[in-house]
Amino acid sequence: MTTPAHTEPSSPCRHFWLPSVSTILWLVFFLASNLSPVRVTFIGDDADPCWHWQEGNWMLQHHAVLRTELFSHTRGGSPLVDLWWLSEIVTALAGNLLGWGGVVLVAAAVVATCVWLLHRQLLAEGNDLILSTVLTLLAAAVCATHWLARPHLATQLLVLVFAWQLRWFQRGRVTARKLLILLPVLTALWANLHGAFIIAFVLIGVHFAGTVVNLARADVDQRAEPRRRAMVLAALGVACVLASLLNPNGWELLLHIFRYMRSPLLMGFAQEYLPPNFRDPGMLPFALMLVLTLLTLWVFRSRVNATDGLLLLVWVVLSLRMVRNAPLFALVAAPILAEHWNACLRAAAPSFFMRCYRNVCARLTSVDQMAGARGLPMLATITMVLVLAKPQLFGGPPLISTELPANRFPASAVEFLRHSPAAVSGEMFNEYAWGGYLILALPERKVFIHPNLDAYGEELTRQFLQVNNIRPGWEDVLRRYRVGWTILPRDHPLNRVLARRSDWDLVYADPISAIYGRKP
Amino acid sequence: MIWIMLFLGLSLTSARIVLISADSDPALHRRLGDWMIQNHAIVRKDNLLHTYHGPIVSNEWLSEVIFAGATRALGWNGSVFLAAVLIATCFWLLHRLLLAEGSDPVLATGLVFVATSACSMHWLARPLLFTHLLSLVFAWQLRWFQNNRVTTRRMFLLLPVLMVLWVNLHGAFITGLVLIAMYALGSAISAWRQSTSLHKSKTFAALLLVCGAVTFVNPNGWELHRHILSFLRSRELSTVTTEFASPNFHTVGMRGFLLLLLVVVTTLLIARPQPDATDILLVGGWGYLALLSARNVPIFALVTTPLLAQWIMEFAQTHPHAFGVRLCRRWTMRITTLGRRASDVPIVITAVCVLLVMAKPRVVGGTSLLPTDFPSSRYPTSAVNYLRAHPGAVRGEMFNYFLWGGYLEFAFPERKPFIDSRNVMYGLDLTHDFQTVNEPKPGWKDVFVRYNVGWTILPVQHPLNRILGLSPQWTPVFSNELTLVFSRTP
Repeated sequence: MTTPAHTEPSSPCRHFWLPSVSTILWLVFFLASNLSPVRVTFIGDDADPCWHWQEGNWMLQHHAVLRTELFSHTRGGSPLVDLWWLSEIVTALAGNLLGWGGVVLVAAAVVATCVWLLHRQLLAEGNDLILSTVLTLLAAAVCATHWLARPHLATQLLVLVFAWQLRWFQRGRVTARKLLILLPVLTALWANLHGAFIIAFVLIGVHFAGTVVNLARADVDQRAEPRRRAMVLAALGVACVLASLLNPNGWELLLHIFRYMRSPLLMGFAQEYLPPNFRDPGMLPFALMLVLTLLTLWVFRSRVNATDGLLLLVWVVLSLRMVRNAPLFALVAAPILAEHWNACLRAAAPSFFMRCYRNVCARLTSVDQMAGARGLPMLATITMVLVLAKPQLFGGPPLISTELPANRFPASAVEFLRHSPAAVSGEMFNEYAWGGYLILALPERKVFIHPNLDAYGEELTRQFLQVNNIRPGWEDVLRRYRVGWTILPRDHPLNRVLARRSDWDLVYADPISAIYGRKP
Repeated sequence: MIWIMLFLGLSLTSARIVLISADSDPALHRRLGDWMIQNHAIVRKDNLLHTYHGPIVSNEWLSEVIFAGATRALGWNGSVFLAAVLIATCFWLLHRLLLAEGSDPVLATGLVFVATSACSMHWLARPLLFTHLLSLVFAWQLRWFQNNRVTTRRMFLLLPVLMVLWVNLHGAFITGLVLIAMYALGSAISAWRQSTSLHKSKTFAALLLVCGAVTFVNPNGWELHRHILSFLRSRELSTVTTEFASPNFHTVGMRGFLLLLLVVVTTLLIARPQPDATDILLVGGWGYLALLSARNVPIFALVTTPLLAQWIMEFAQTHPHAFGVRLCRRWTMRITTLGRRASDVPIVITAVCVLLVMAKPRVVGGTSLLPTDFPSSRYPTSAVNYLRAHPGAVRGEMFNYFLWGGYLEFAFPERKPFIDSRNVMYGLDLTHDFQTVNEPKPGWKDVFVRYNVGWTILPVQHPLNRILGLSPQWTPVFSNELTLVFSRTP
């Protein structure tokens, strides 16, 4: 570990009005997420925030954790393992208090904190300010593909904290005691916030494997320290597994997750579980990070230790298998890349470019060290809460209106159904991506399916696909579930079929959606 | 041994069916090649689809003629034989290259098997196989020139000639130009870093110019280059076809590529090779292109494998007592003893034997010992037989399933399909019209009217069948477990 240049004692005079670069990053990401059109993407890119809010609402109203499926007629009453009940309660609290703006506010705070923490970690590890900022922004660009107001943001934040603490433990900057207290507590929290808490075990496992490799390679007289670390990590793994059982479903939660992960149909259904599509311009930062990782492994081959090498290897593979792991790869890889590139920049010959770089870096660092405006994030949060709460506090229209995008969800169709409830009878067959929206916007009707596939299982998912793709037997599925009406995108092929059926009628149509009802 | 194993595995097992029928492009190429052999001319105007009658740039005419010639001689087994020879030769050459560079035989064999597992998802009896073979030869010669094992004269004699061949065999000839450009750039960076002569870099640049110039030696001249560039620049066109999409690591076929990536990263971590600008460009550049487009995975495998072998051998020399190195050496001693007695004669004998087996119906008559055809479980063979027996059952033009286009062009030449896999040729307008009907979207009936579609031939599960089944204007005229044919009522 290099000497932390950023924190070298220089006793600078601190200005209370001057924010540090880390604070500026927090403010930029927080304010941009809340005030720019990005806020609509946070809640409207898919309909998941809607059903999380509704499930959270139910739990708040009933003072109980959701244990049965309530929102679909196909699986109504069947047991449910709620993987994210705590996140849903937070979402519902924020949403009930401040509307969609509140949901975005919580998500923006988590995103900004994640960026801020990564930047602080890179600086605290002695990397120079420019490199730390550039790598933080690159990691943020990778993560941005998955910035949605959903429970997985908690996973991004906690992966960062876990990776940080484990890395510092390996470097002797965190004691075994602190590690054994902090991480099991965080695992217990994580297990209640989001189902991807098993990533904690992956991180600990990789650190353990790396330590064992170091132990095997060390001279006999230098094995005491790696052996101690390996034992601490093994104990930590056990403690974290036990801590993860502190959830409303106990060990059933772990079994449920492993069952879900073993189903190729369910794992291949959602876009975010598929491998990255590098033709998508949004994947460019991830591709850049991969190239940078490869270069780092190559150029700094003699300095990459076993644990860091394994971490990069495992996360490259995981993110190539599932695009939703790309942000986690970025958060884990950024400190490793920063360490080696920082050493490279320090060792570089003093060319004209390097002299300029070091001068600019030194000046920025000295200004950064004078920063004392630590309360700005708190101030910005309070101000944003007040801005969002203006209708409740002072009446009148909101200063910032945040609503689901009208062109993505069937808002007018829902309005029609609410005003003309008799227009349709029987159960609903709905567009998969609208399931969450319908749960929130039309709670009086139960959906056929929504994107919580682990609640539905393989059989129902296959039946849904049978109808959705109009495969032979689709009518039997509709009959089995007493489906009396459909709500689908206007261009959906099933609409073309129903339009030709004498027993179905077009009930409603607008440019977004069409509702067909079975004739009595 | 590698040649024989791959050749026999591909030509005698059920893999031969996969070679010709994993998609219907072999049938399309055979049809085009047949036309060129019959007419002693290159196809310049499309006459296979009823929806497109414009000019075509035939960018693989020579392959099509070769595959059609082989198929005329031996039926589909001719295509299988040719494809198996190309594949086996490619990996035999790769193995020879590794051994010639001083690789341990066990290591070389292991790495060749990793490369074959990465490439196997693209083993189809199509012109692309020529690109795999020629990419390997180019990468080999360029690498050896850089390592002073090939003279400038030989490189300038061999590669431009091969490039003339390549440009007429397959549209991916630009792979060769990209390889030369990478070597030129890599050499320039190395020379700049080490303050040495730019001689090699200039030689590569000159070679790039010469090879670039000879690419105009093709029946379409510069039109071929314009055609390929316009295809590569079109994001939509290049993503319609699955093989141009990013690799899907959930599929079994991509496990080989994932394994190769793991081997590369693990080797970088453990062997810690000395970085060289050209190596970084080759691995990074082709790695990125492979992640961008699954079609580039075999090129990545063929380019990277010699580098992997070199790094691992360098590691073995500096760590002679490592466990893996000792184990490898023990195996090598046993294999080398056997290898000293080996020759290439069995390759010729094997090829001739398989050729005789395949040619049995021609030589001694009777049925084929290796029946090879498009499987009726995947292609509408019964529907085609029915339509041929009952030509009056359908009228007007056809609307067909995308993946059956090539098959129908070959098996049912008296009727022209709506679409085949050559979207690069007919462009986006027809692709959009096809998608409007195929999905189906509003306006699908207008497309049918515009192209005078009178009948459809689609898989039973296709959503359009549900719509046509409810329409009084359409009647099912043929159905089996795979196919449903609807005809418009007169």
